[in-house]
Amino acid sequence: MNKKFLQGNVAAALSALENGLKFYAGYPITPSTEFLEVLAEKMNQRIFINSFSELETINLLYGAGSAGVRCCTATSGCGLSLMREGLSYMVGAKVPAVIYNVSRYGPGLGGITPSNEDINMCWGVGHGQSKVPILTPSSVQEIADSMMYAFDIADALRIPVIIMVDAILGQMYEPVEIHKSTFTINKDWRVGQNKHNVISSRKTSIRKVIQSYKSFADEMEEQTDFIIEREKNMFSVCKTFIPETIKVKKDDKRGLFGEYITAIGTTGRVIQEVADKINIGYFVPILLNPFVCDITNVKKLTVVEVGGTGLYDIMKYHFPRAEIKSIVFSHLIPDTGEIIERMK
Amino acid sequence: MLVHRYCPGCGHINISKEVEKQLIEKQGIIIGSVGCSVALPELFEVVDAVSSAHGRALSVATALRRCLPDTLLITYQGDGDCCTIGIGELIHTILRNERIVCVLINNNQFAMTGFQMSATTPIDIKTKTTVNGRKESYHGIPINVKLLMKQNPKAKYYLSNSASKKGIDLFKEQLKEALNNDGFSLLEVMSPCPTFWGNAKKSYEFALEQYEKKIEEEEHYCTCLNGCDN
Repeated sequence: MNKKFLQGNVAAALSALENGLKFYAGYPITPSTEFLEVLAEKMNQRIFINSFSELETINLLYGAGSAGVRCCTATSGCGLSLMREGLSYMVGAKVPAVIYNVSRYGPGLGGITPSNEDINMCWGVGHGQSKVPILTPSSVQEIADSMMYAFDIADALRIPVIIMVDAILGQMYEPVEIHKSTFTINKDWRVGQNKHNVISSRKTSIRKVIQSYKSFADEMEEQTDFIIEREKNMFSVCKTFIPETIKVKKDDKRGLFGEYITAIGTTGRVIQEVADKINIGYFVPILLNPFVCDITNVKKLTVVEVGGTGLYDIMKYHFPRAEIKSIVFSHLIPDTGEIIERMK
Repeated sequence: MLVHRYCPGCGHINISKEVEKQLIEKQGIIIGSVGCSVALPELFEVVDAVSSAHGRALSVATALRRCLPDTLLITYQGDGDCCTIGIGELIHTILRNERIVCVLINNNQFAMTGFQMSATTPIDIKTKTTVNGRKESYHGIPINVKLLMKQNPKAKYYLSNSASKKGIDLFKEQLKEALNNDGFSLLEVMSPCPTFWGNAKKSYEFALEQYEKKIEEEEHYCTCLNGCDN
């Protein structure tokens, strides 16, 4: 065991380096900036770019991902808004990358306090059919592990992956052990392999093209089929990398009529205590998209969120017959007493 | 290039062919963007290609440069792409002096979307979004790329045109020189757009006129700016 006492953002950065990060681009934004600063010290300046905006950041990742190198960035809600165009291009052009999003309060500039509001934005990350895997760790150890899973999932599915944490998790210190994945994949689709064949027809060319634009009907059909198929396989692929996609304590005492509480991130830790205190079940998703929960007896569900109702919308879709109550706190992580009070 | 999907007489055609020839020879990567050249990755049939978002080709190329230090990288962009929406990317690439060759096809308007004003549209010229002509008071003055390039003396700027054989030959020479540069090279090509500048003859005349104006402008600026060595 080689545990270190690290801040969430720092643990994420170190885990990224451990798991083969070869290109970083980022723009400072509170509360994610430590990620950028740590990598500035640790990485060669050739492959570390302090970009001029999030617009540039995401397109730098598009370029690095096209060359087949593992790349990532850290940002917060405002920055992710700027990256959405590029993320949509990456989904279309099948370019892997990891986006570490430290979610902060509010629409617009909002504030720098924690929130879960970016769920709505991450769910459909850009224009067109652009659903991407979302990981929502709820401890610093899970952040480090999620970074490892995210790189593997991104490479396996050829898609950008978002890790969404809240500002508290990004800033808090906990003992953590950085793990390294052994997963490798042959990226024969990457550009710059210098394998042009000069005499070729369009069908047999071995050149590599990274492109989301499709001008022919057959290409569009092929693209749509690929994206839909990828979405279908998304959970099974994610499951091969993530041993526990959701933390569950079942409510067995009421048989078929279970009462549950759910939340993500730091709030996901608080609700575990709440569930123990009032003797109900809970589940805390680590893989939020695609969300799969095999609990069958959810009758009453309380969704606790900070800032918005994104998680409530997801739960409404997954548990159409359950009685779902949404509890939204403004801009701070609630304590157990506050949650129990609001549940009455 | 087995097929091309430009309009008949388009100024892109000869320039694209020359760029493709160099890319094949040197096993480079073309970074396309959005505009008339949007289908470029398909047109260049044997060259590795990355197609980027509108205006972002230079960012994509910058990352590729850092990840593939020995590969030739050429971005192929229009004036709407490079000088209008992508001006931030252009400025920062100039400042960083990345070893990238940027071919800027300047036809003074947004042609693919049907003739709207771009940052390079000259004063008094009518487009669909400047119905009474571009006015300084409302639309500002056209951008001067050469002046932007002057911020970094190490970055190289070249001007040519695709409206005359002489201009195209000049471009070929400039491209060969740019490929050997250590830093950022921008090749601005004043290009005719027969579809929107009236007809083929008018558009070629217009492109040449703009080319001549640019040369005059350069002389004017060079006398105005202190320390200019041109």
